[in-house]
Amino acid sequence: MISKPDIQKISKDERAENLEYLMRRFGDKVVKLAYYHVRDRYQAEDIAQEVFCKVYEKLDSFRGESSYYTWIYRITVNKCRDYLKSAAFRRILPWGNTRKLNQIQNTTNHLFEAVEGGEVFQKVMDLPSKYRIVIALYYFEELSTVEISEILNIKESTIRTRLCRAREKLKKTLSEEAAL
Amino acid sequence: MKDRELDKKLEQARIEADRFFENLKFAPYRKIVQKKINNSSDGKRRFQIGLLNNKKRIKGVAIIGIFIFLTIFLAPKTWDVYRYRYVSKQMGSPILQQSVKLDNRRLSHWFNFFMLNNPGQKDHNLLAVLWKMEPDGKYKMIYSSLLEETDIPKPPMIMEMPQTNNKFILISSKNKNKEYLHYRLISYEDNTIKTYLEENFIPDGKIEIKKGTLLEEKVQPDEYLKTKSEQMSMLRKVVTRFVPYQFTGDGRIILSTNYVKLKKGDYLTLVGDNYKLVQVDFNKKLIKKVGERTSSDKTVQKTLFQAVESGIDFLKLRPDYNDSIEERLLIEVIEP
Repeated sequence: MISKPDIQKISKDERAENLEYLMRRFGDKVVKLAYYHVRDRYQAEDIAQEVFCKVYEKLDSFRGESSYYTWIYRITVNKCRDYLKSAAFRRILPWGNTRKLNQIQNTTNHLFEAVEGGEVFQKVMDLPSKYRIVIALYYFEELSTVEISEILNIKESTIRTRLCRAREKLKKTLSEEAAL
Repeated sequence: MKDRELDKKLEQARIEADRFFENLKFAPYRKIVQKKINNSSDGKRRFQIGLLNNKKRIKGVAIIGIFIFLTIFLAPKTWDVYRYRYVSKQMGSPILQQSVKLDNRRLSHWFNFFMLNNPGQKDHNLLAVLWKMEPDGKYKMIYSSLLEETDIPKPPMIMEMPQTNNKFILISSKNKNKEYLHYRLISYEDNTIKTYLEENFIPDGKIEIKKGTLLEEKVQPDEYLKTKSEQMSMLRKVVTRFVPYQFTGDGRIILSTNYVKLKKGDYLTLVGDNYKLVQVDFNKKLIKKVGERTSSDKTVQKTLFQAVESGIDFLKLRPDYNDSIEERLLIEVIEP
């Protein structure tokens, strides 16, 4: 568990100082988590900035019921979900017929920037988002299933199931790859 | 694949992820966040003070608000917006988008797929559009292509040509039910786009950029037509690796890769500029030439080979005008 600075009822300068601490401590992790969701580096960076603006806004109301780590991660997940539902992601124009987009909602996971980096990493990133995120958090960020369930606000049993299914999907993809 | 093997692969993926995220740091944005917070809290405070201390100002704001509201709903421009909304519905649904890095500027290029339906039909077409940001900040369309009767757009993939700033972009989409593939391979060089490949209705097709080549898998069209969908998995796949080549300003040939591994029976296609002729020398025991095609606009040349025997040897490309210039492609053929 991460040690917390005392930020209840503090001055503006202290708040800024604490925000600086939180950004230094969690900034890179937030960018990573956002990237696992949106797969666009610029968008991930923008989301991370929004997350810390939100963190600053809510510092006073943070009641310490969870660790900072879980709290900030949850804000990130919510921001990413908002973005993925948003007009900016789905459409360029603020109007238009969105009904047909629902027909291809299962494919939206593919509509992301092609991932730079190694082949296996790319295969992981090509998984559907619900599998990609649990695999990334469990194996790359080394979080436990309990921590992942808190961050994503999903039952731990569901996380375990998703991990199993994600492994099976990866096995299949990598075996097909090896056969080529 | 066994669990242990997968664990090893995941460990490899973790190392690759660490390497990837080395370039994705939050540090440069800390100051921006502080600045945003300062700006927004200053603005908020000024606004609050104004509102609380001056009731007349509240009335003024309300009147201005009503005026703006009426202007928005009654101004002629608003009708244009509604008309555009109506027209855009007729055109088809926008859109899914992503930034594409084709030069050093951030967000200089965007890629979209637009849904475009034929009038009165349910079949989806996808219109692929590449946009470039002009110096004045506005985007200009630099490439578009219609991929007919497809509904699964795939993210564009970028392949860099070694020793140059040139890039190849692979655009593709699939039909979910009929399982065919369309794809385009276009080059981007000094703000110029050129189409190298434009393939449609590839049966049960897959395409990806792999180790400097374009890897295409498909079933033979005649076999595909005769086969019922439940037997699709039994069909033999035809594998083709495309190796693009280009000419540099000083007349040299550059290949997207210098090594290709093929299984016996696989195809290799060299695809390159046609405005300068190229001679190709190769080991006939290893591969055989099965065809040569020129694009309809005569700008692109395709030379097709098939791997016939296992072994390893160089394929040599020489420009017609100077056979002292040579570029080599190492070909390894293995048993299937």
